[in-house]
Amino acid sequence: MAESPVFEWVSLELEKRTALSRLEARGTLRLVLREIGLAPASVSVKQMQVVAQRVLAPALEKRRVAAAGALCAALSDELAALSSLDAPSSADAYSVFERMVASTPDEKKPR
Amino acid sequence: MTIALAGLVAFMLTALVVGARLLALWRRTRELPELLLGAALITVGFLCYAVGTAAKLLVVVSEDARAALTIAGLALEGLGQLPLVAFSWRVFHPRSRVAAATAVTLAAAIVAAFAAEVETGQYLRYSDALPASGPWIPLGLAARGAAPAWMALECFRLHAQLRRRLTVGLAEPLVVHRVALWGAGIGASALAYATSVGHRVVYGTGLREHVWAVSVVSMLALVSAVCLGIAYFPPEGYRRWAEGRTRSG
Repeated sequence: MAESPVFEWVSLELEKRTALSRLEARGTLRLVLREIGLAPASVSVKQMQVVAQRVLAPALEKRRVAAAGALCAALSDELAALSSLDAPSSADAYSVFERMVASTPDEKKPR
Repeated sequence: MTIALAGLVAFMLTALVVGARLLALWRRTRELPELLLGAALITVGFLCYAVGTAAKLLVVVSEDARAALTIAGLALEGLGQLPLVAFSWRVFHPRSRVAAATAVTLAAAIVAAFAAEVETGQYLRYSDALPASGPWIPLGLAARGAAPAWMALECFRLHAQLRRRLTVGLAEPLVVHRVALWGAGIGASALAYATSVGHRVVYGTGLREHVWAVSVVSMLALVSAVCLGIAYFPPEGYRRWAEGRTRSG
């Protein structure tokens, strides 16, 4: 199955900006995503931003990547401008179940 | 027997209300998943039971009417499982060829089993007390039961993933719980089918020949009704509990 464009983008950037090989970069990212219940094929840009901010740096440090924190912060910032990488219908199963609920009285109030 | 049927009635009403609300949601969003699930719940959960029950209980004077209602109920049940199959495919694995093939195979099995049940005349065993003969009734029940079983398994798999997303704030606790409730609710329906298949294999007759069998299925229907009801209409106390449990866990 094809991976999502944002997965491809981040793994390519990891390969370019670190000493990791293509295989190592993709494998590291795959493992990090799996650890937090995300799939490479459907991960969205916003989800990848959280990954970059919160879980990627420790995984890179384990693989002896220098300045992993700064690299991940930079990736997160750059991802903010890359929402076009999301597929037109990138809604996943989570978003389906998110909307399948009766509105509460609070939610019905105009904001 | 009347008490044992209470769970089935609760399930029918819950399926009708939640199904109708999902269709209303679809009118606003125009998204396929709510249309599929709403259609499945109303068709299988309400219409099929209503027509099937009419065939079993109300029509005592005309064999033709009983036969027609039995076929209608069976057709509704099969038709209602098709959107459930489509839901599992489109929502959980929209780009997977294996899932597409699974969906097509399941749909074909449901249609083939229905055709065989009608062709052999075995469909009448759903509305009388005679034991079924041949493989078609257990196979038909198994094919139709595979639809909720698939969806339940996918819900539990997604739930396991979402629990991991919770740790980094990529999921809301209530949504994670909701997925588990849908899994349990639809899974209870699949277990009811499994009970029916087992009963047919052992005794040949329908469940209503044994009060214990009706009670088991009715209890599963009640579990399903409670789970789907809480999933769609989460009470305030439940919301607080789910969110607090996640924070403390």
